[in-house]
Amino acid sequence: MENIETNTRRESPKNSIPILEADPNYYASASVTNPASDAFAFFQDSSNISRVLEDLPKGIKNFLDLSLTSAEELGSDEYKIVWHNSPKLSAGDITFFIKASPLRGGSIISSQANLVGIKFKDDGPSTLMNLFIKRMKALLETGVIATTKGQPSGREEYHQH
Amino acid sequence: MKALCWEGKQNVVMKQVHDPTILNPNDAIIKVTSAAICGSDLHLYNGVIPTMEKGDILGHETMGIVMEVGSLVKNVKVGDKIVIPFDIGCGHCHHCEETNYSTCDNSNPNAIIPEKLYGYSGAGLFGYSHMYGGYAGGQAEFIRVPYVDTNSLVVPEGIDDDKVLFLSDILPTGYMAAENCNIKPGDVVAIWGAGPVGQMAIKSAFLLGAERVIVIDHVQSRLDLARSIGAEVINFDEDDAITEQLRFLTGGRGPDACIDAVGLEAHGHTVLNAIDTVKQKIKLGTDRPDALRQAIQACKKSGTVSVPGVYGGFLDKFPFGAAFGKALTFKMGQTHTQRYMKPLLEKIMNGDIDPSFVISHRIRIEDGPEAYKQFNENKTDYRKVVLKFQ
Repeated sequence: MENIETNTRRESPKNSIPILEADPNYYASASVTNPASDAFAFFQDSSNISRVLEDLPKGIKNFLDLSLTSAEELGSDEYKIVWHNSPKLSAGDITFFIKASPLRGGSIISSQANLVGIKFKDDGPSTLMNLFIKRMKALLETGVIATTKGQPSGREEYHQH
Repeated sequence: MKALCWEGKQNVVMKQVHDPTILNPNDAIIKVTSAAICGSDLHLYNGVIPTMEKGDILGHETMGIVMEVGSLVKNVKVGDKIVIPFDIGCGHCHHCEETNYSTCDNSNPNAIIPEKLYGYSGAGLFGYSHMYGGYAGGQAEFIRVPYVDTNSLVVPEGIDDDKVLFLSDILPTGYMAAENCNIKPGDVVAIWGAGPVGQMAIKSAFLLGAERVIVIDHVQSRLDLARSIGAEVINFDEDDAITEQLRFLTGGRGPDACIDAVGLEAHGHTVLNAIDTVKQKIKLGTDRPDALRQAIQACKKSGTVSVPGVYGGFLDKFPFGAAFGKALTFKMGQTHTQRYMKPLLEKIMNGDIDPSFVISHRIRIEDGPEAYKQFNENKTDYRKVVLKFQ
């Protein structure tokens, strides 16, 4: 594993998430407000991952080698989704586990719901991973990814149409 | 279209730029009818907010007519007249669901920048630096509004723009500042800053039950306006012993709540403010927090300090010992504008409040660059400038 400087948790986060009990190095989770069924459908559609990858900084596709496995168990509408990744997998791999968790406090349900594997092949993965998570979360929650690309500014030369 | 563009420190230019287009299916394009220059725009004008880029379109107090909507838009339609909140909420994330729109998770495409500075990013803002998303602002003939279903208030036909324009920012900002004071009947509220947000905070504090409001500033015309709507006033050019004056005026107890409606460019005659000013000029400091220091010092024991004034960086000589020793409560932050727009519109329609009293100038966009200059230098005459597009 190369240089992960931020979003990392080096030691076990003593908590009730079973998967973190098993492996103390999960970190960088993201939460969404969607019902689990929406998240399930989202991850079944690989075009969503392609949209998340669009417009990421130049070269990010060289950092990411993303594969998606099928979801087995997702919670009910009472649950939302949390990603965790593990720097302890084989060198160069970062994995986002998708788990269902209660919306407000309480214990995390034990079923592992989904697994997305992402491999970084260069340094700087934490920022890229952060961007990736944010965009995935935004697309899942809102159906779009916020952008200003293509908006007007005084930087561009104006041409009368 | 014509737009007011930030070209560098104290340099705003009207430029001809391309019209905005729909970029996401929940966007709308608005033909602007009125847009105001905010006191917080002067922080941009003076170059104290980082991550501005030459050519950025300014403006975050905007209203207008819906010209085009994206395919996912449900709540507004072409032809509606809407007021646009300055902060951009997605409407779906945890924070938006809790009506904390200004801390939206999803609307800032540059969220990783403030995360490095602040730990987490707030929402995207219109026309307010790339740290807050780099969104083109509304001091222009047209504006693109993302997540328009969340970021709009459709206003009734026939109502004058001047009455509702300030639902975009300063009225909700003043109201939230007062609400954050947890005002009880009989309370005394002190407000630093008699600019437009301060004036809205005065009105709001009275609406929420304050018995007395005391305002601190040094621009006499603004203090006169504050007095005209019921406030007592202190001109710190005449006497800068603010804590002592407030202690005297409150029978030795201090104000129940203090509102800092000044933010990071405080003026004043204290030694600390002189040090802040020098440090800011030579880039050894970011903010001049003297109003906030005074508010903390003056507030009564177990009182509340509410901060609608904008801060951006690190505060020097911050009297946290006083805050701890007096058990103060702090409430602050960018306004969750969308939370307040509809109830405040009802108050406007009921005649409880008419925020248009703060307007001092109505101008064309061509006069915008000069208005920025005058607003920055001549606060006696320039209180609130509104650009008119019709």
